[in-house]
Amino acid sequence: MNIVLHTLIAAGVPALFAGFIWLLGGRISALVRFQWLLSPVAVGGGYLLTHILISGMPPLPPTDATHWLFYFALAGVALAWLAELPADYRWLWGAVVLLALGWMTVLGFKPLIESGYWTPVGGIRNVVLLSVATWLLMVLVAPNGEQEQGAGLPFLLTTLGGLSAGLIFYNKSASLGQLTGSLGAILGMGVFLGWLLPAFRLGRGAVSLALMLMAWLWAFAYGYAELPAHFLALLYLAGVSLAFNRWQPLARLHPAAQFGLRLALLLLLAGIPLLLSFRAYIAAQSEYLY
Amino acid sequence: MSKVRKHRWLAYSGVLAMLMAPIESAMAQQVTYRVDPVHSFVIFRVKHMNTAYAYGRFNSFSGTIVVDEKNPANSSVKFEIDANSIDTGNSQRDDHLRGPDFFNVRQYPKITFKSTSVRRINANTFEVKGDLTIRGTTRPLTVRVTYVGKGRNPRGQEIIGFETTFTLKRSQFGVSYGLNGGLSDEVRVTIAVEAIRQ
Repeated sequence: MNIVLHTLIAAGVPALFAGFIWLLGGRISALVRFQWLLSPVAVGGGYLLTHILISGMPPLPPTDATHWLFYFALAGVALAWLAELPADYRWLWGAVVLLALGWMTVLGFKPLIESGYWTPVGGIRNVVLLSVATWLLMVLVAPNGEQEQGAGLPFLLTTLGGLSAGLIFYNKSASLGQLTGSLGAILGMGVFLGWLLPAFRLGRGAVSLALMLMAWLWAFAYGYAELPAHFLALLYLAGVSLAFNRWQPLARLHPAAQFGLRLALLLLLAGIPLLLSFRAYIAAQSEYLY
Repeated sequence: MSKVRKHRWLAYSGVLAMLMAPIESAMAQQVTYRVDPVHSFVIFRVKHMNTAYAYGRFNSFSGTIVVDEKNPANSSVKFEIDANSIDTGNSQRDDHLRGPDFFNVRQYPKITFKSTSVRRINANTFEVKGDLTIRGTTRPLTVRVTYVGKGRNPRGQEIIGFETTFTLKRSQFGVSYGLNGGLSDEVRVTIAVEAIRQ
């Protein structure tokens, strides 16, 4: 099969799946109250589909550590449902997510310590940093999924997915880049639905799941491909910038201004690393196009 | 020591020597050679865009060959390639090949082969069966190895040469990126070794 056609299918089919699930929860009155359950299924199920289409069905345990993400996405759907707990019990979600992320990070990066690429001390430091950074990203941005209606938040998430996909691609992993781009396409379907259904909300669970998957793709690109640590840090900051509109001084701004400011921050924090990576790629004059 | 005890000890020693003789003889027939990386080569080719062959090599590897000329079944081969040393003449492509799309060298830095049996087919050809491990996946592999020659290097060390060419499907080892039109599944590998007697 043609590479371009395969890429389009790998992004398009999961996006259509996610759109269908979101539509079920948005249009069918009997299912509207289950949107909190369906929205994480749209994101998680869409990712599982894209993973199978791009990398195949991984064995359990996977031989390749980056394929843990398939199983993390499955677990992530359950964590996303937990994110929808009433406010009084959300601490439980936070605690479970932190524990789960710690365990997942050990699974995902233990091979780098075993192979000697990371020293035991450096490995433990990285595992702790990645777990805490991903936890902060999920916990800080998840409330936006509940508060924001329409196409704005899905558009920002799609932009983050697209920029980070390009960044990973230019840092030597086409498959991780492709997975990130397809995750962006799934969220892109949310933009379409947000425009179609103005009351459309991604929900806390789906936003936290989408960010967890994206952060994992960044982290794997850092651990197993060539994404530099400072670009990884900028990607985390770009993700956290999605929550800046809830910061008191900015919360008073007009929603359009909040959106514009966050988009500008995204372009700055994720776009500049992409531009620098692209320039480095061009400067190498290698003519290598994968 | 009494005369009787001395004779009994000598008798035991003689029996032990007779029992050990075949083992010693077998040991003497097995000669171990160490692969000389300077005069050995691991090269591969893969079809690009179903149009042309792209060639590459691994620059760092090691191995031992145990040769039993009288009884080749007692021979064995161990070979280890540093996957990080891949070299296709383009640094961008080499970085990509080292990454998770292909060899995932940070998780799996070594490619290994360990023989399980050796059989002589004719005077200069051997069938070597063994386990090949690439990217954490081990699969059986059978190759035909040609004995090239024997001699001495400028240092006066005894050297021996072998060569083998075989084709494998990279997807069987989990190296599946680019199968959709970019790169062929079949990879032809040639290993030519010169090994020094230890």
